[in-house]
Amino acid sequence: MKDIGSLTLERDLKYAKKGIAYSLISGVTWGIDALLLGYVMTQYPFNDTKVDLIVAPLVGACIHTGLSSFLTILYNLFTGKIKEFARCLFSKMGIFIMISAICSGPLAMSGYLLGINMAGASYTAVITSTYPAIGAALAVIFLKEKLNKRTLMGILLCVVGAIGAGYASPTGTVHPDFYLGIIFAVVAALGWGLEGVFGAYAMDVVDPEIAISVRQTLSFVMYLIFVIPFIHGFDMLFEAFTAPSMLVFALAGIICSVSYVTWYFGLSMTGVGRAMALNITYSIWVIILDWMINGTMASPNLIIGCLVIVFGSILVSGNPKEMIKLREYKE
Amino acid sequence: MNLKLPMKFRILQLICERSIELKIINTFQIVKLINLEYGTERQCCDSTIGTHILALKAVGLIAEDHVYELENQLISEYKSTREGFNRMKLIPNTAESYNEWLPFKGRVSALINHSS
Repeated sequence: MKDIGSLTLERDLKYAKKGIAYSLISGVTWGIDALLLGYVMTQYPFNDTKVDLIVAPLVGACIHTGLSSFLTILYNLFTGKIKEFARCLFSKMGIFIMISAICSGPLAMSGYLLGINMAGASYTAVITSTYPAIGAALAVIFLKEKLNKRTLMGILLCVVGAIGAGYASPTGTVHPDFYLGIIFAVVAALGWGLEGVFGAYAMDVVDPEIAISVRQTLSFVMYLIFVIPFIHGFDMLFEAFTAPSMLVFALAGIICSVSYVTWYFGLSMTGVGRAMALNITYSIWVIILDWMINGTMASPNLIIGCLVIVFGSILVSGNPKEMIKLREYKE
Repeated sequence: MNLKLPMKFRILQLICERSIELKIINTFQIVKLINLEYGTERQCCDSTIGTHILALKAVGLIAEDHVYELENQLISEYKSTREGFNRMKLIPNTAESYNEWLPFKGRVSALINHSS
């Protein structure tokens, strides 16, 4: 018969392992979502060459967020948690989630797209891949998250692997606003890092399923008010709803909702640094799925990058016992 | 209209209220009290409350004081940590349970200021 100590440890370990599983699921589903979005972006009306390059991705991001907001609300209705939505939104926690929504949605996503536009995709991808390291650093400073050397090394390897996997040689095209583009890419990485910290702080006292629902809804509203009118994107937005590609978009919305819910569970259960490092494994899943579905062969840097990410992830999630107590506050 | 606190936040508030009076609250009592307030909602079940408690413990807002077994079930007693008390400042004054918190507010502020 087990003693109380081992039963307690067993219960806590089960909780920590669940957190790791959620974080990994968020990575896998994010990979599937990225593939679906990649396909949708080549379809009407997003393939319209007459509009500015930045319009289609931002309109796409707005619809994607809106669908996910709608689906998470439906999910919360189903689970009987919907009353928590208003409780969270109209409390001080709602402010933290609002900041989180600003950081991740319009700020990070717009920064990312502007970065690609002004500095090119390769530099932007490399800079924005550092968001787990930024998130981990911010979590250690502001949330007093405990991360030992092995975990920190794992996070670093995940970042290096993601940079390696996503890196493409610069094309040599001269970008007149190159340095501004680099600043936008840094803003995007900071935005995603900050999202995790503010989100995790709010989720200390709010259910993750509610936090993500509020976050997606606020993010969607901000896209509608502050982004879409300025890029004259309403025409494309309405056209997208009647286009056949909307069915694939709806599927992406479902996958994205699963990814976000599990991602927020991961942030809350394993801590910001670990959850982000496990989430970034999505680059592996994109490559594997792309190979399985489209037969796209991976380049050597992709394979090496993926192997580095796998090794990093093992270091990050290697010992669930360390996740029983995520933070160290002064008593 | 006054709103209830999110259920997870209310669990923390209950633990903080007991802790400031140097009392301990156990899993059974938390489930019972939360059921009285949120019992009509589908989200209010033992497993959700249990998960919220574990989450509060993992991030260091509450600490497990003592664990024992009763009728093949693990029963834990909890107390708030300083950071748990610190989060009480986030209770909006429009919350239903804000008035209940008022008698403790001054004592908690003094405790936080004293130990910082």
